[in-house]
Amino acid sequence: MSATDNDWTQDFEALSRQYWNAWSEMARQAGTGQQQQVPGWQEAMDLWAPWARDGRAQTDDTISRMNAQTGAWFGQMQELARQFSGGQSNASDIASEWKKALGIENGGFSNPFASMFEQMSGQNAHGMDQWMKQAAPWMDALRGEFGGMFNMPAFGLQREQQERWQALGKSQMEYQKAMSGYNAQLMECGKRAFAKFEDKLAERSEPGRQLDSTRALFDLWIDAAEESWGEVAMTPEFRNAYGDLVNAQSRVRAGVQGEVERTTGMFGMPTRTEVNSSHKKVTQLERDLRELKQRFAELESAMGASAKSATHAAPRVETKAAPKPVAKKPASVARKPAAKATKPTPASRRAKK
Amino acid sequence: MYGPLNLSPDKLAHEAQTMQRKLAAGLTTLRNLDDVHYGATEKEAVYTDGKLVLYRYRGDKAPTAKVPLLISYALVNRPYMVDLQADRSIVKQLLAQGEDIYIIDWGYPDLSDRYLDLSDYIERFLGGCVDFLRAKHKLDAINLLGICQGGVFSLCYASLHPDKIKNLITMVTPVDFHTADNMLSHWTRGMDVDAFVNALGNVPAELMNYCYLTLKPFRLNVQKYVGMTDILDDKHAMEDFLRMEKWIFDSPDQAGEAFRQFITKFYQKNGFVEGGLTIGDKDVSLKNVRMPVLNVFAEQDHLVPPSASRPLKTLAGTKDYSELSFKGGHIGIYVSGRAQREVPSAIHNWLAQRSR
Repeated sequence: MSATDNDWTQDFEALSRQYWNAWSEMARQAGTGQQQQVPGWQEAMDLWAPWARDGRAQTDDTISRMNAQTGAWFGQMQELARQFSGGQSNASDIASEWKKALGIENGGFSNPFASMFEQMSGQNAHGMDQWMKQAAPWMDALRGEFGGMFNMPAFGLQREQQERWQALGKSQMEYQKAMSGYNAQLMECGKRAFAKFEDKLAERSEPGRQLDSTRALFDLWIDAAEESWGEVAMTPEFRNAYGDLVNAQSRVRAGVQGEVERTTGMFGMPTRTEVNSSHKKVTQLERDLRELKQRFAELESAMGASAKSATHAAPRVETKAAPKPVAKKPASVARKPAAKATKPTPASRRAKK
Repeated sequence: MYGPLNLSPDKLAHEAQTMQRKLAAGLTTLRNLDDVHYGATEKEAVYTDGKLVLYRYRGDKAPTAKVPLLISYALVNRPYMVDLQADRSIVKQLLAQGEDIYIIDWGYPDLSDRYLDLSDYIERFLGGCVDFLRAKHKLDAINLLGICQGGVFSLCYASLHPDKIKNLITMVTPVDFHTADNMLSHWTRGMDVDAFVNALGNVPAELMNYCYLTLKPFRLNVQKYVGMTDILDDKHAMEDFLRMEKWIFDSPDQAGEAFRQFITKFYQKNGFVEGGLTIGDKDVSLKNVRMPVLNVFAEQDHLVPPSASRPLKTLAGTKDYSELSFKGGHIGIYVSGRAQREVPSAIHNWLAQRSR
């Protein structure tokens, strides 16, 4: 082990000792009525994660996901377990305290599932709301500058521009509404999860089935949450909310892209629409070229067969042009053997449309 | 009177200490990990078309099967899942039993591929590989194994060109997209996929990953990483974990037009079941799938529930239909120990019986 390795190991061990001492003290004071504050999972992760990263994506990405996803819920579950250690407890009290821990108390507004879904966004995985956040400053600036025009009747020289902005503003409001509808579904999922959690806890209230670790309690909560999600996510209401959200996001995105295109187009910059148009043409030209090559190969094959039939008594017609192996031909050239059919292919028909 | 918890401060302190020890050990483990590689088996590129590369896999001994087996994987993940590592490789097992294995790597589409449609993927790319192998092996028909979305492509291709496929194997392949337990399908039916693709162009991999993770959000995003602490002191297990993480998050973007058609024709219109399915301008009917079919599905599959795969039995035109119901999930069917024991040998035996 190198000197540097030694340093970080010792540093983390020192921190671990502090962490462990606090937990030992908590155990020692049990029953004395004193409440010892102990560091939780999040504190442990905060200490650990920086040391665990080693500069390689394979490790760092996973550590980042672990830190982001486990910190809140497992740490809070550890605290919940500590609250109920050593004393009598019932399912209702535990579920109630868990609600409080996640911010739902006496009708207070919190949506822990929405927060959890938000935290899911990270390296290599994110929803469209990530883009919405990135585009928000641009949208805000537009609204700030032209907000007064959003609700005014459109007329005069700026009429078309004003109508576009009004449509964009409207689509953004629809997105906010759709997001609220989606979050309401997550809230419903949360409500069901808490009820299921309580039921599952009640089922464990007998000898031999009791939970004896934070992990067991945590796993029970995950079971409850996942079951609730499985129910809510399959309802027609969720499907509508999900569709509304995705569709609203698509409209905002298309609207923003359109405005950016118009702005950049003013300065002679190539636009996404133009690039798409080129890609579309290239794709179609490629299809047409392949079809021509295929038909040419068929003709060559047929001509070769005719020549053979003139010189041989029993000719064998070769109808398939065998493709060559990869090393003998450029990678970009497709090798599809000629088919027997000579009628127009879909590519040629598409080209004629 | 018992409560649900039997927790004591000592137990909690001990649990916290154990996790802390695991975290501490993890620091050493993580620093000593080898770079995570995937792909256990030697392979060579034998055919290319655009970003597609067809690989032939080489076993320790020459193949004894006379008909090659072409594997068509899904577009949404990378195909190395079937050859992840030496002790988790369906490919390695199939090679050991004498099969001659080829796998399509579809590549990573970029915006220049946005207008590739299902006809391009099925007729041009998959069909190109089939024709290449028919010519190379001087055969009229080859064996085809389609996995998940690659299985859907394989069914379409087999329906369009039944004379070119000798035996067809589908693995975790959806056929009826509208079964009551198909969450992914349920969600997509409220989507305006035209607006979606028009706004996005290609569908970003990050978005696809997010969508898949939200199918089981609490297990896949929270519980899994808490569970990771259990193996932080085990170098081998951590390398396996990270290899799987790499695969999960190593997803290609989806070519916009192909995505639009796939969602519309299958997830929304349920084309195999409802009919009216076309690829390019050709009608596709599973009644044309007349070659022997082995349908392999996973009993705990949350992405493609068995109920989505099983209807192939009644919809396919074949008189030689077999099923293998695997006890596992969508991923376990490739990488679990049970999969290594059961799946390759079942495939090989089924093929062997039909190659005589």
